[in-house]
Amino acid sequence: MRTALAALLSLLPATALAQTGVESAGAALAEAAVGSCPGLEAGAFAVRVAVELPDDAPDPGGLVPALLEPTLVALRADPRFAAVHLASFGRDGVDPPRLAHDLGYAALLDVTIRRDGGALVIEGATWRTDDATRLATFTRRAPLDPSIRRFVGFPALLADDAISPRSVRLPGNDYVALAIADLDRDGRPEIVAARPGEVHVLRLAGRRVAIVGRAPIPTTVPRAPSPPRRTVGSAVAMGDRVVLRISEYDVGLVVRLVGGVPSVAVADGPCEADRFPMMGGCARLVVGRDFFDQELTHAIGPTAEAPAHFYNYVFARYEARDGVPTSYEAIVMPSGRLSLRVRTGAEPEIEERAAAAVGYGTALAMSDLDLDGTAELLVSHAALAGDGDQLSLIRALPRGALRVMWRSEPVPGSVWVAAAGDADGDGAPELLAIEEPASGRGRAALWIVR
Amino acid sequence: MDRALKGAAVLALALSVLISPARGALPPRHGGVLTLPAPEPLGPLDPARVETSFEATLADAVFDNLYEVRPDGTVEAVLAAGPPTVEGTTARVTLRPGARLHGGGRDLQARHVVRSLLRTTSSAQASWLLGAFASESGRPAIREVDAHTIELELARRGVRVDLILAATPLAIVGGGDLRRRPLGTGPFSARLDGHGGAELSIFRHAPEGAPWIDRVVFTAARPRDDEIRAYELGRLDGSWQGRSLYGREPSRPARTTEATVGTPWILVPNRARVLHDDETWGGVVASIDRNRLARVGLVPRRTLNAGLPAPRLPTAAPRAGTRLTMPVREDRPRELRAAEAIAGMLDERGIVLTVERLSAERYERAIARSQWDLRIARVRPPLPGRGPMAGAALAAAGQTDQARALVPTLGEPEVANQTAEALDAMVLGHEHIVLHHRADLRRLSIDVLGRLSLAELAFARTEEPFR
Repeated sequence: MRTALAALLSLLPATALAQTGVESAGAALAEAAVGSCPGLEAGAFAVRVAVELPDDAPDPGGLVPALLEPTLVALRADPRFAAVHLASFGRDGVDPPRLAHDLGYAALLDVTIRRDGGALVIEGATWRTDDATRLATFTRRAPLDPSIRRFVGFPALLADDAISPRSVRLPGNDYVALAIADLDRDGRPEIVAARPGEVHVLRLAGRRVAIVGRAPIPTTVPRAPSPPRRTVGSAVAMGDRVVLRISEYDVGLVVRLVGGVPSVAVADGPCEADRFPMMGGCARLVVGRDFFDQELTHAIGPTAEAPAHFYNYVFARYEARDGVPTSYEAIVMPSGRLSLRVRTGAEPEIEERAAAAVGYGTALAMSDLDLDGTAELLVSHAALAGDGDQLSLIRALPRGALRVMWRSEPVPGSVWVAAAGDADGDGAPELLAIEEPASGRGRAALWIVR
Repeated sequence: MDRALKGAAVLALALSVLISPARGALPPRHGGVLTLPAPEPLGPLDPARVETSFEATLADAVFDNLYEVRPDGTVEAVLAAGPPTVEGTTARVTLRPGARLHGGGRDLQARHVVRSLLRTTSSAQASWLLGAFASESGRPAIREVDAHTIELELARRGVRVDLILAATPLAIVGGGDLRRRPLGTGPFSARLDGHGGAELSIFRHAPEGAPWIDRVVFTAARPRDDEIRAYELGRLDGSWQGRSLYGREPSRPARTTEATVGTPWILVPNRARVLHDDETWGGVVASIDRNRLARVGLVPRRTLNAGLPAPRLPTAAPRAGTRLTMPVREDRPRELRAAEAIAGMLDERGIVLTVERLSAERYERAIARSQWDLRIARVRPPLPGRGPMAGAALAAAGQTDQARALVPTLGEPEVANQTAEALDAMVLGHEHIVLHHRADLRRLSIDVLGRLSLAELAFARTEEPFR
């Protein structure tokens, strides 16, 4: 057991560096499998895997070795197990532990891999076969990222005429930051919408949003000595929490669900206290202005500097279906100019291209909606607040071009914030934006574009 | 060829999709310089001694209060860190950390606040508000506890200290030379040229946010035609006097912003001299037709504001041969015009009113020595509501002690009504402000106190070429 743990620990550097969904899911499975073995005695060990994927999955068989490799390495390092075999038996009503015992195995790890909405679910049970006793069970969920999609199938490419926007009413208005995260790790994502003084945690429930809870921002949070005239905010999901910052306050905040109730506390990272979390880095407001300086900290992109001052910044790397990585960096400048930098390929052969367009507003969100390796951007348009707005979905092409896929009808309110994430939990990301009420009173609308 | 044309058409269509002007949400543009004429000559800039709407505009741009009343009626901390803590009759206010003063960015400290509040005791417009606080050795009991905390002893339990400290005359002056370089914390720092002009520059560390425009320059007041000509030629971005000379359509796109503001003008009698009896004063009241003051920019009204009753004034037949004196500050052209108009009306009834044009200092001296029979006073309510309006009217009429006694009951409408009815002054009307300005000036508004929204102003964005 200790040796298995040691073997697992030896895998940990690789686990920590796991970048793809397959690597992360394999590491999580190995950790769970080793953790379920303490009650087992010496003997041969069978790992039985059943894959329950739709018939159109392109390579379900290839998923098993990709996912199980770390588990087999870890178990084989345990001296109790004379042999560890990957096996497939016991279908059609036959009792697997008994059959494993009949085949000479002392232990059985029974693994089922299936798809549940937008996640790959891995369920496991460890058996002692001589008395058919189940010692432990576990369940792990992995989001269907491109590395897993290569085995289970990609969604259809998003065509311009297939874009279906919808909107739902939010409980309030005056929102300045938006993010989507699975705060309670139950597989159902939450929408976090923040405004000065309060954070709303919501969940999509059909054609409306259900309020999970409202959390006041503690009065002990220090106020910013000189905030900009327009309240500015940003929020980024980080696992089971959302880090956010609102210009009215002097520090960053973190939103969590504690016992199903949202709570807001002062954040201790990842951004410095005076910086706002962005998708791809941390940025600081220009003193006395409502836009950000180009210098970034904790940048995940290749440069720690945006091309110019900006209202909003997004950076992400997406992998094409053939595995070619492309990184996209987009900003909206104070002039209303949308600027894009695209880097395709891997070191040392990286091609960089740029594109720009004018007439856009502060709201900007980016995602790869159809997992084809190209980024889709949701942007608002340029006009003064109160003059209405419009949303555009723009595809950022790897060749460094922007193509408008969809443009909404003019809306009466103004759109200041946007975010990306799987808001409805179906496994496919959406782009979201908040339209504030035109009159400044009443309830804002949440636009969900996909 | 056809294919090439088709390709070009598709490309043009694609570009048009990308560059077509769109509507939406983009914040106001930053930067720019706005040049306006000063509507009136400008003296020292002191929030406790503000009389005109122009002075109020500048004071609002340069100074902040510890608290401010928002349009929805809530009181919000500005230079204070949060609501005051009150124990019995002792209130403590903690300063907002990091609040900085103009001119070098020194931190605002409790001593600045204490000094600023205590200096208002010598101001007629502001000192009555200090009736909210207890006295200590003849001074308001306001002291510094440490560098960031102020302690105030209240006149009685239940006084809304945050509301009182939100009164515009109690804005915090951090020091400096109020004739040249007043120091505040507001969105603009000010430099007065001493000749009636002022230059406001963006203060990026303002606690309520830096303004959108970088600079606002007020040039010294000038004659009507000069002002309009400079506006037409583009040397000024606005004019208080007119859209164009000779009534022509302006050569540049222009807009007009106007408002009738809640700052009434009152005619105050000196009851210690000729107008000591109600008959003489009633004769003066009966002789004045408010409608004839419209041409000096007053909208005729009988009441201080819509919610208050009109003062109960005596009425009597004008007593011909009565001789009265009305001093007017020579640097207040609108008051001079109003005084001349009143003199004309009284003259028709045989009452002789001599309008004396005096410098600011001589005017103050004449008022202090009771060398006057009538005077025009502007009422600037320090806070929203009926009570503050009634109190400000009392203070403007020189009844400071009555105003002071009113402070603890500012929120009681019945007291305000009684005070307004008992006011021994005639409401002449409410000020009407008109500003003609370039059309690309956005977010310009005039509030109920006649103040221009300088911090909110922004220039329109221009179309950026597609690159």
